[in-house]
Amino acid sequence: MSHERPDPAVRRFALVTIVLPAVVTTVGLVVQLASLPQAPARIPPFWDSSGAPSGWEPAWLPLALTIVLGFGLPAVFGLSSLPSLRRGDRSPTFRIFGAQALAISVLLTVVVTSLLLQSLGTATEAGNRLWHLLLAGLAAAVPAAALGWLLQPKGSPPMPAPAASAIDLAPGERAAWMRTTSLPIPAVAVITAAAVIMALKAGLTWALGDRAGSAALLTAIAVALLALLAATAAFHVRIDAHGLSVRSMLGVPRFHVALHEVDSVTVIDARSLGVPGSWGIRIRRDRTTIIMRPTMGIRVTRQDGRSLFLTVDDAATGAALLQALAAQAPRPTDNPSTHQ
Amino acid sequence: MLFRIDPSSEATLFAQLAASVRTDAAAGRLRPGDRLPAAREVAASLGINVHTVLHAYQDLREEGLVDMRRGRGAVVTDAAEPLASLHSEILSLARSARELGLSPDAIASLVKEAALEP
Repeated sequence: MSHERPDPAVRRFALVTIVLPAVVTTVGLVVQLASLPQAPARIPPFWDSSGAPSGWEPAWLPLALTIVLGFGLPAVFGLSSLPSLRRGDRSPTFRIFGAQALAISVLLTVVVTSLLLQSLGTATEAGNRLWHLLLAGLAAAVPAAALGWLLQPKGSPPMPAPAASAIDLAPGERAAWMRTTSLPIPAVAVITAAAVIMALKAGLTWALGDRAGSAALLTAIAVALLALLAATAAFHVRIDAHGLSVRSMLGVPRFHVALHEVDSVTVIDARSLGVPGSWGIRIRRDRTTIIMRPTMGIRVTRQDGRSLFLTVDDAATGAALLQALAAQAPRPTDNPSTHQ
Repeated sequence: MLFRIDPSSEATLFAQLAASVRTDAAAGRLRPGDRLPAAREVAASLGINVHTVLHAYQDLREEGLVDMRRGRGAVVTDAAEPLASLHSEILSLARSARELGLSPDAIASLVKEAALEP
């Protein structure tokens, strides 16, 4: 293991998402602690439109809130992205994440600290105080976001991925690769649970029989969720003499790339695409990505420049076969007379 | 799951299909509980008869590597685990044999002889 200095992007990201929010939170805590002896035991956190307190909470609550959220939220932002940054992934999304983490911690600290200070009785008019707090928080958070953005280095464009190495196929040898790729079980469970709850609510509303309109709406939502699950939760991938085909459990959407259309095949990490933590299908004019898990996937670029990417286990084998089959495939341009 | 068949090879097609499954299990690409693709899909994909694929699956079942269940198809059994545990040793043996200039057939027959010894 080498212990070289981590590169600037990693260091600055840690500074912006972990160190600076911790400093801001600590300053806020010191101010809060200093003012605590003068604060009443209970403070009004919110006010109604007439300016009267709409509730009361103990004065130590802002402190607890500051500690948990002030240290916790930026740490979640930071720790979720640091591993992939360390691996060498670069994307503007990390810069946005960093700026967000710092801005959120500043916003929280300013709002919660001012809330405590205002309850000391030195505050003037009670009305509109919540607005003042939020405005003050935003006024501090916007420059903090800008600072967080500027402190981080500009991401360098990702390295072009090397082409997948082709499997050695003997002349006349036939090969096929098949694999099913699916969302992580918890994601499937959440969508299924949501659909089941909607279905139950729909059933109950139908049974009560008084609001057919909302019952129909709930039924439609439940059906839509189930269709969404069937269309996006799992894909069957096949690579053979017909090319690459990808089909959802529902049958649609489906994608196909014929062997003669293949320009290049690479194996890349979904995490390097600049969409950390996200999954799903994105179809753009020239680029389709199907991300089921944050893992390696196969990217096929067609000769017309359009590309298809999908995450799948054992992507290296699939890509190697596609590469080998595509290299063997007769190209329509090679022999125009046989092509319509 | 990677299936490879070479019609010009001396081995039967179903033996080659079964060997493909064994290779994937040994490499850890197939794990216990994984389902093999439907025989019909494999047959259509490779342009062979569906009975050839079913024959291969049947052989693997007799060997204990897969379990055939109605409605679920062929499912890889726990027998894949010990196969995968040999994978790194097989790879290192193959690497050293290659460095010594041994042909794949020579390595295979040496390993076979060693395995037959009591």
